[in-house]
Amino acid sequence: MKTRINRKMKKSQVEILGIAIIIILLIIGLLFYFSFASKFSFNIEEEKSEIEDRQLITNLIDTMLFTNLGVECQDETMKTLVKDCVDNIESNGEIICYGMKSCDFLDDKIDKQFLKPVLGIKDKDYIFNLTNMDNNMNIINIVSGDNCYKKRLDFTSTLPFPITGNVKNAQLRLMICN
Amino acid sequence: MFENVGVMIVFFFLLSFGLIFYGNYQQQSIRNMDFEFKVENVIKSSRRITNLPELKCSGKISHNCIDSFKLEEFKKLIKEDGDGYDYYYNIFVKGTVILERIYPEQKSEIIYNNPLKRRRGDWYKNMTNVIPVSIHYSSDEKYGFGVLYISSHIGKGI
Repeated sequence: MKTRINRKMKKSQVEILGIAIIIILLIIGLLFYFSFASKFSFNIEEEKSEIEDRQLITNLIDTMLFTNLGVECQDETMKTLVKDCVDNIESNGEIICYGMKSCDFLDDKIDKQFLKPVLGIKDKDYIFNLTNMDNNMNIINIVSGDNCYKKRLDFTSTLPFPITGNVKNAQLRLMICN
Repeated sequence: MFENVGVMIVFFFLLSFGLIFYGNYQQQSIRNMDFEFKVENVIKSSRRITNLPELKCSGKISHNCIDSFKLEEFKKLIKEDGDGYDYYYNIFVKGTVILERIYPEQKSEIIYNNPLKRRRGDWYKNMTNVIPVSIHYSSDEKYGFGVLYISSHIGKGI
């Protein structure tokens, strides 16, 4: 009688162990599935927002360079002013705009009038660079927001916009720090 | 007999637990899909506005550009009592479109205004899309700088 009870108990112990193994495998499978699914959807979202950001900053640079600055700037466009600043960097530019030389004007107005109204409202941190291609020196360097000071910088950038002056060449770049 | 009943109870308990879990997950993913669909619609209607021939600058301009003269006429057309209200309602639905002229003049103007009417206690999620645009003044062939703010209703909060 005792041996029969012992045998039955052993059998049910083995059955419980089997169920436990099945449940553990099920949990591992579910965990694996959910972690994979969330990672996959996160990547798509990240890519989408990167494309949107890139479109936004490319549009921003395009429209900014096309802008006419008015009589106070000798009716020049932003692009001409940038070219003047690049060519005459030693004297801070020759074109006078609102009483300032072109480089000083660009340094003062690009952020306030062009970048901040667009990127500030979207809570984006950004870096704007105008770099002399001959010596790789930054002519204008605007950095806005804490994310741009991170050690491992992750950013979305426009392609470099080439600015071909009469004497020198430069490139313009806008980056959003993620 | 009792063993079988026990196994069945455990099995159905696990099954119902799994179904509840799966149901909640599906509900959440359907909500997310609905939200994404609405966000995409806002982005689509934002793109449309910069490409409307009624507003777009003529000529070989590749970037976002709005003609200032065309805009004045467009505003009359899109008003609630204007001829084109019903037509443009299908594009912009419930939302607002504001153009802020930044350079050389600083001026904000409402192009389309049809926000969702709220009842007391309700709150709605809105999404605002920002698009930098050139504003063409064809009288003196000059381009200004402005920003289009397109906000739309994307969901109801609880």
